[in-house]
Amino acid sequence: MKVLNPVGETRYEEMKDRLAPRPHTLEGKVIGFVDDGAGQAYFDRIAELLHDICRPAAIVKRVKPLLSSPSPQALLEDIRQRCDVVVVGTGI
Amino acid sequence: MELKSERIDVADAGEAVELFFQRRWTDGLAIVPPTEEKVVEMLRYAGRDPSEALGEIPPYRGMATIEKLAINSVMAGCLPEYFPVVIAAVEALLEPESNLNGIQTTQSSVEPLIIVNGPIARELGINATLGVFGRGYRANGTIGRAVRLILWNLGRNFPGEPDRSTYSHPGAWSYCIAEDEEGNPWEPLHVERGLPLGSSAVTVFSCEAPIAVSVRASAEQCLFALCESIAYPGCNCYRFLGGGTQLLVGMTSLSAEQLHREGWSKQDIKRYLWEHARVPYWKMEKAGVLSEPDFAGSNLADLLWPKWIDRSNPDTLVPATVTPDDIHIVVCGGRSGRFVVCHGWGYGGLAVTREVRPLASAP
Repeated sequence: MKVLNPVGETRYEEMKDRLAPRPHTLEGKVIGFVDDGAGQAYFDRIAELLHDICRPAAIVKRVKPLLSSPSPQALLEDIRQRCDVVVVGTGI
Repeated sequence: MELKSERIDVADAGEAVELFFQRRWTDGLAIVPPTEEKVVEMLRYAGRDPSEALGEIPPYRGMATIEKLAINSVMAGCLPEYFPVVIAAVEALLEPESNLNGIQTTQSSVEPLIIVNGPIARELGINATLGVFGRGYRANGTIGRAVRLILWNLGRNFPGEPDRSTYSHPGAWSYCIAEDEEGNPWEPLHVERGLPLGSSAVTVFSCEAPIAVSVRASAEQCLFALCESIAYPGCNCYRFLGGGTQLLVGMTSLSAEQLHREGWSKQDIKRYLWEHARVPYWKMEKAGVLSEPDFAGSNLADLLWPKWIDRSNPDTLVPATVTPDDIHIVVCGGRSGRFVVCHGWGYGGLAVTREVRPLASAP
């Protein structure tokens, strides 16, 4: 007998393990953060450490409207245009 | 009818079941092998184009085509007549208010509850009375599981990878009830939510496991007992208030009749519960439930709570929801003096109602 595969096709299968290109240095770069809105002090401290250690040109932060939903496309596009490197997610 | 899914040769049904376990195509329970014949039968009944896509199921973003929904519904053991209910439930879950991405991955322990209203609930034999959240009814069991298998195979939210739900709950296998409309002295849930009387509908609401409240006394005593069971400091409804909290209260037809007889409307009950099921602010601070080390000093009350909650006074009483309308009332569970409470999540997973499309209007 033949049975059918129940798994949905996804456009993202090959993208899920792919990393964005890494810059050689963060010095003089504009670094962006997408803050999930739950831990302001956490993101502020990371920005502080990056400032001290990596000497970026600037740090740009955007806060997601809802902690548990993916960032809106417009927010991602905005921060992408302003920055050389963006941290779009952190895990706990 | 042309199907696009990969076909796999197996010797028999037993081998198919083992294959699905090996490939992680099932949730931990055995399945009905989805043969082309059975899948086509389901698709023909619904009269929908198999290639029609309803949207992407997070977090894997598998495309929810009618064909994949049919395959998973066969696996769950659904009859073809159940399929329109499954489709409506998935459509509801794909609405932004459902925040399915969050529901599929949160650390909290909520799962989507499917509530069926209207003539289709009776026609399909979806249980609304004794043992309503339990076992024993094919329609409840397999409609609920079909939706879960769809979330599993299209969303691929395996426990821990990346579903972070700490406890989940048994509703993650199947969580489907009907409203006892014959025993409901008020308008049914889907009519209250804007659909015409006589229509059939599915409401999805992501919530924790049911908490039983046993009380058969005066209306005021029953409502007081309910409030005492709803409100406690560690409850997400209070912690995440403002992020999108809702609450479901179920009551038996006997309890509903009594409240109705004593002059209570649904709106009266919602307002009473909203005003009285409250946690004193000082208790939440004392219990330390408004912050976590992961929040790095942030306080949930700062982040989420409406500004009208007076935090300068420790005795301020905090409600479970922002408005009384965020409390849903469903009549179900037979005829004893009992109630049930299902707390929502807090970051969405809000109730969404969709009509189950009559077959005549299908393309």
